Amino acid sequence: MDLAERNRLIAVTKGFQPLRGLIYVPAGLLNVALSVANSSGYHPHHSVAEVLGFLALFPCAIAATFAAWWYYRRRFGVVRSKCRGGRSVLLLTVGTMVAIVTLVGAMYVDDTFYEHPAASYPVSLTCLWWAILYVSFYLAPYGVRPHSLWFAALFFGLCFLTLVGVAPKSQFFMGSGRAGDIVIWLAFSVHGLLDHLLLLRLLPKASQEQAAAQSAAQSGKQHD
Amino acid sequence: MTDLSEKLPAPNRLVHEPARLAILTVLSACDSADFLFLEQVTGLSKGNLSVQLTNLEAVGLVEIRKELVGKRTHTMVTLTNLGRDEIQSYWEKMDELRAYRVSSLMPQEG
Repeated sequence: MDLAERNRLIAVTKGFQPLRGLIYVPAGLLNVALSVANSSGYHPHHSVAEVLGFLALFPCAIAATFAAWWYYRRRFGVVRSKCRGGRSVLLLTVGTMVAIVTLVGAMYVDDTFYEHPAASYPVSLTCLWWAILYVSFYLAPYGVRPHSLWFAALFFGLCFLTLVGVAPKSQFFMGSGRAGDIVIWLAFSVHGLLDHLLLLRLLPKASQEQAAAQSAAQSGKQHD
Repeated sequence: MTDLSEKLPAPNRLVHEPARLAILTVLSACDSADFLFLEQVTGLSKGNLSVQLTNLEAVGLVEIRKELVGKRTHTMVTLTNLGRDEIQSYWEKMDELRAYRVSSLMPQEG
């Protein structure tokens, strides 16, 4: 076995959990839909049916997320990482809480733009947060997601554009329905899709051909 | 004449077999994996994988547990301590082999 094959086996094993990108795509697309609705001025309040139709987006996203999780379980099986146990769970929990708190903090500080534009920081801290998040995606696991660096570069670039005043910082307020908000969630969805494609690429050719044959067989059964 | 085989580190032949090596490498990167995951990642057929796992279990390199998940039997495979030591030792020896320069074994002329 050569080094490339060894690295492939280790990368796909260690990276399997985070590379299940289809699980994250529904959440991203839901937020894109909400941002688009917000930006077009759509507010479902004319009838109960309209409100229910709007709210139906949420269970649909949850169902799609569960379907993606089930797909990975049935297609790839189960792998339990070495990072299990109290200390790892504690680190993961603390890390998640820190990430949420810093995001909320970044959004709050960005939002002061409305009240105190002169005193507000010129750079979009929300974009900076996303850039750092994509850098962390690259670093874990095992440096196997080079495409995450491109997304990090995108958001660092957007930070720079807000810093020099080319792009208005207000565009990147999350939940605002503005173009930047849509960019954030669209990037999140595309990143999840790329993770999934990378996972498929890391499989050996025999598994890829088997998957293609299974898909063809299922399509044939549906046509019959 | 210098006997190269005496100077070069000898990897474990049981581990060296490609299918078993792939299985052990995957298991060394995780806590445990199920049969389907091993099949997908290594590209081995079901039959071949089953035979190799049986062989590895027989020599104590892996531990196989069958878990009941609903109505399905789930086969989980874990590397034993011996298995971890063997695969680590194997890769260390392979790294030594790669780093080992054949020219250093050639008898010096003159």
